[in-house]
Amino acid sequence: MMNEKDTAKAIVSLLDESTSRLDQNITSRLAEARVQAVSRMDHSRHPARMGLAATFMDYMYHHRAVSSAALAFSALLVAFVTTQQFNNEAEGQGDAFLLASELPPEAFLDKEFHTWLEESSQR
Amino acid sequence: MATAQELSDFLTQIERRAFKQTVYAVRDDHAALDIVQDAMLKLAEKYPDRPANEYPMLFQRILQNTMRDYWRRQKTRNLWTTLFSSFGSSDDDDDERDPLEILSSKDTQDTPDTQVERSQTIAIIENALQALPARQREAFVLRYWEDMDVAETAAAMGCSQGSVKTHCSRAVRSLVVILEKNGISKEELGKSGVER
Repeated sequence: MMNEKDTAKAIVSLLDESTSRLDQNITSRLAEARVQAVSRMDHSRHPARMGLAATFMDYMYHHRAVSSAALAFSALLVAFVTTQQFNNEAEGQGDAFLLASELPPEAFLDKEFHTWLEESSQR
Repeated sequence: MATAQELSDFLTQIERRAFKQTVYAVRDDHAALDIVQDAMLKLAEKYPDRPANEYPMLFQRILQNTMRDYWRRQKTRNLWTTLFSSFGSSDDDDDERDPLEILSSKDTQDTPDTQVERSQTIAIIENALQALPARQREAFVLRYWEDMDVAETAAAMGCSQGSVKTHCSRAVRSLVVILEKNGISKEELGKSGVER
């Protein structure tokens, strides 16, 4: 009678056999992944990658989705702030033009209205 | 500190098992390849200074975490897919395939009877493994296939040694029940395993 361990070993030996029958495409992709991983190992040991910048770049690489969302949000924020500032400047410029002009502010008032008002009241 | 050659040797040794193990969990060859590749890269990038004897444990932990990340992403994706598309054809039926159906489609090679029988047994075992609860499968694979001891398995799974024993025991029992349902007794299984 087989105990738990023997049963597990029999199952595992059949599973091992199944790994030897993997498709050629799969084994070649696994081999590619292995080669890439080994080359990355050398790359991560390289001194040029050490330091704060490298850590930041690694963080950005491993959090691509968050980084993209943050960049998009920042772009929207900058666009919003710039638009607001431009509008405020446009409004402020109107008053500044009147105050800084050589003509007195009265010059810009509608005098024809007063003339019309006087004439109408005399009738 | 492990050398590049040691890392390469280690990955060569485990890559096929890691792939199979991931396929049992995610049931998709392409996703499994991506997960294994991701785990390999993480091991190489994050732990280049660790000794080679720590690689099996580290790799298993990375692999399990990468699988969990995959499931989380799938969960979110499925939520959006369900919300926005209720008209597409359902591919979920694949999950409920009969192991024997797979056998008839895959084993078309003209092989001797014994090889066909073994292939059938392997396919039934693989399907049974896929059907196991995730934690039981994880414990079984780490403990028996990766040949880790109970303490290492517990550390890799992030649970107690008692839980590992329980998961392993239940996993083996469930596998035996499924195999017996498919007409494969423990003794026949033993013979198939020994014949290799």
